Amino acid sequence: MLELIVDNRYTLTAVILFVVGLGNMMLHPNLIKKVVAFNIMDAATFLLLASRGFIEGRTAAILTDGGANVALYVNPIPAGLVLTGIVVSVSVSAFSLALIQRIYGSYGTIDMNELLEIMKKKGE
Amino acid sequence: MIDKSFLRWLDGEEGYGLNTELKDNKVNSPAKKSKADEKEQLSRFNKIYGGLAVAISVLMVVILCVSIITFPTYGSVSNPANNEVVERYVGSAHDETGAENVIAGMILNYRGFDTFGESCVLFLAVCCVMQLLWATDDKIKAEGEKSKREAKPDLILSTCGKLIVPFVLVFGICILFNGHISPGGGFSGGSVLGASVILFAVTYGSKATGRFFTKRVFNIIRISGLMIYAIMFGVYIYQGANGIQSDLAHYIVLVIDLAVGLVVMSTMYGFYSFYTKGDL
Repeated sequence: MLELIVDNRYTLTAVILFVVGLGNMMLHPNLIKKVVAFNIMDAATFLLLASRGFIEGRTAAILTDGGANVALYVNPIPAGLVLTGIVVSVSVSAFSLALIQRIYGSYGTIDMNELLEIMKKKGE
Repeated sequence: MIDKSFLRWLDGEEGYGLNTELKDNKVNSPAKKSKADEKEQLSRFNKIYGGLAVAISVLMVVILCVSIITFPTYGSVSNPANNEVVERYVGSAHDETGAENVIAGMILNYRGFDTFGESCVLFLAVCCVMQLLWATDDKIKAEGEKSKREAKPDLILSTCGKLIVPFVLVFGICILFNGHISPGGGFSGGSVLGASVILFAVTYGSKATGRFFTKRVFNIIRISGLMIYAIMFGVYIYQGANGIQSDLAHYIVLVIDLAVGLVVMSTMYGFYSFYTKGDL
């Protein structure tokens, strides 16, 4: 059991981070905190992907003296995927923060419950 | 019982936003008498919602932890991810793309369409932020001007900034141009360059930045970055893609890297600028 945990420590950390983010996203009424939680979930995904590409005793995939010997370098594909993920995560964060700023500008609050109250009042 | 109240609350909720006329007919008479009732429903819903959220989170942990058991061992060569694709990429990246940094060669040549998509995502993100935060209102603009005049650069920040800015700028350019032969590349170099421009704006005030980084320059940089990428990648594809000469591929990687760096740099500064004053 302990061996299993130590062997999969990165995956386990990614799982915990992901669920922390998911729980925060569902439980916090504050929109900014939802964005923070969303970013935590992103980080968990990147950790999982990057740890999948690691191979014991090898170095980063930048060709040096060894030449193009496959047995010297770690898997470069997850690194490229993580790069894609980071770009998308930055863009989505910027977009949602801009939306939140506009919501604050027109309603004066970024609390989900208060926003619902305002919506109800407007409906009546 | 629980499900019914939950569903009714949800129904009422949807009715509010979508169709006010319909809602008036439906709810007007019962809504007044059941205001307290509604509040009670809401608090009950919140309780159920919190409980459900925690339960889903715990369930998620259990499911994911069980799935970890079936995962291949961490760091082992025999992982299914380490297949012939990796061998192909590492083995022939240098000959086919001229890049010693396999990851840079991979994302700019083999997966070039994907990276083009990423650049478009950044471009669209900055367009959306621009649309949302552009201070068209005169009142907001006047407020921005006022706060701009009031906010004097902090003494410590401006003194340190004056020392650091040139080095950050040179470091960014270094990463950008050496991205294909060492750690780095368009995205990291562009971020560092963008950070240096932001630091410059913080140190010397946005007026000094406005002297060389106007709206026009900003638009030219981000559009031409994307255009250069598209044209160079088109040239690469039509010149025979993987069969292209190593030297030529080397220059194409360098130019595409530069284009990505320009897009990322203008995006970073655009975000900063639109969030701080709603304008460039």
